[in-house]
Amino acid sequence: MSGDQDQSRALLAAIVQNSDDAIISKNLDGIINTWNEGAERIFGYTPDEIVGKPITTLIPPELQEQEVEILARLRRGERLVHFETIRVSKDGRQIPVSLTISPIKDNQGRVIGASKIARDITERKLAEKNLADAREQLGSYAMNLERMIQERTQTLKKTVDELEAFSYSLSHDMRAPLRSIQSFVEIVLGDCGEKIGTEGTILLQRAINAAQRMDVLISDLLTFTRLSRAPVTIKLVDMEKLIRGIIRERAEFQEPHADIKLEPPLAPVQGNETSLTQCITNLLDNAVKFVAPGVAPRVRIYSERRDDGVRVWFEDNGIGIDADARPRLFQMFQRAHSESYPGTGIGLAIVRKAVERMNGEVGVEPGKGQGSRFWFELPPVSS
Amino acid sequence: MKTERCVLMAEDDPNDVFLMERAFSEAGVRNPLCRVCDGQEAIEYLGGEGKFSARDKFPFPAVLLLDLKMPRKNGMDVLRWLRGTEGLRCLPVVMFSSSAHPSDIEEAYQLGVNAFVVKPAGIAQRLEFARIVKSFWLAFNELPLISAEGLAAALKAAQHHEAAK
Repeated sequence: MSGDQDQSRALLAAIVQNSDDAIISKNLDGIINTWNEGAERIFGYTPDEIVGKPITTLIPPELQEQEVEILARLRRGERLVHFETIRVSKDGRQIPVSLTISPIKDNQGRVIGASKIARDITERKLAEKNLADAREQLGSYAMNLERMIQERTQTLKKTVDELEAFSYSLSHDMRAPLRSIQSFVEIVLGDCGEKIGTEGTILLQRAINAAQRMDVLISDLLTFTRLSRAPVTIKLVDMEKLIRGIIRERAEFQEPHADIKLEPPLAPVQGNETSLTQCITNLLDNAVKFVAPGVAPRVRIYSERRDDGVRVWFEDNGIGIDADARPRLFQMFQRAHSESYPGTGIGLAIVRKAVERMNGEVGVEPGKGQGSRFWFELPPVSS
Repeated sequence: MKTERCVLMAEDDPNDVFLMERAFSEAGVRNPLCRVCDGQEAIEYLGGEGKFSARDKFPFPAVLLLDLKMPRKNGMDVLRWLRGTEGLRCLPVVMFSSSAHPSDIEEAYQLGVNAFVVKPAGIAQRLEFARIVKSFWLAFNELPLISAEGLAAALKAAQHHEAAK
């Protein structure tokens, strides 16, 4: 029996002795009783050098009071688990450790000492510090990046602003010489028409027409640039009232020139009246213009409630749009038809810009049978 | 006398001046068309400064045709000065611009302009404009600053009104 007990005691002793962690026992006066291989490796003292010395040898001067508190808790029978602190090795190095200190009791249950396991957490501490450093670096990179993005966005905004101001200014200023060209040619035609003769008159008239076309182009460009730059206030718009007003403004949109009808009810939308007026006027201008010769333009306007908005349809009986022209239709200077139908190629770009500024979308479908069905979709009025 | 008052044109582009003179002549406007080249000159003319103090050569106008974009003080500057000047602020002003920028229009009207017109590109439109100026501003409209007694009475009434406040 005692042989077995000796064997298991020897086994336990070996486990303690060979452990990687420091396993130290002390009495209640804090004097070191046992010292394993792990302790020797971590703290540098051989058992001869340290057994019988106080445990405070291992504690750095500024932390000496810790031992008083530890002993107090041990006497109460408390255990300290994974208590992270600093200890000092034989050669004066400070070692970050994780301590687990348990009271040792005799057969009667009285606390006679303590067993202390110290794990060297230097590597873990280093890893933690590296992680914290990396996080901080990442944070400062992120902040730097944010700042750079903000600066670049500001610069970009400024450049776009300058370009738009330039474009607007140039367009505006180009009108003055154009006025002169058109007017002076008109004067020559008026004053010297007979001397110039019919041929010359035709040529000069073509010059005048060209100047007029250029002025319309400039006017469209100005409208487009203005739409891009002006602040847009969104509010509730009564579509029926707006469209009826637009039709009333222009003789070309009324009988007998055109048959343009609303199919009520037209749902109200969230939009901007000025932009919508521009948009609808351009769409109706197109519908009225692009018809086969001799055909009276006919447009039906109706609205459709959809999941994320209100879609307003403009269905016409015009000459339609080729499938391959449809993708680029709303871009600048795209003209889907030949010179037989005058236009600047900016009209639909203006429609698109106006709708975009109101957070909407625009598109076109082929008509049922003939013609086209243009639509724009705007956010609904929130109820 | 109405016909002694000129129409003053503040315009830096000589082509626009030439074309407007032609239109006025074709419309049969009898008032002379006077011209200044920029905003600063316009202010000096209206204020009667320097050479412009000779009112027999440089009469105070019946109406001012004011270009918006000019060097040395633009149309808005002239308008602001004019509306702020005692005795002159009542002069009817028609502002001209190459384009109808909404903020320009609103600013001009806020400053007290009487009309805002986009410069006509062709001679037909310009002639129409000249005819309208002739028949409305110079014929139908009763011009201010004509009668010395009327002006004195008006200024006195204004003073009373101020004092009564």
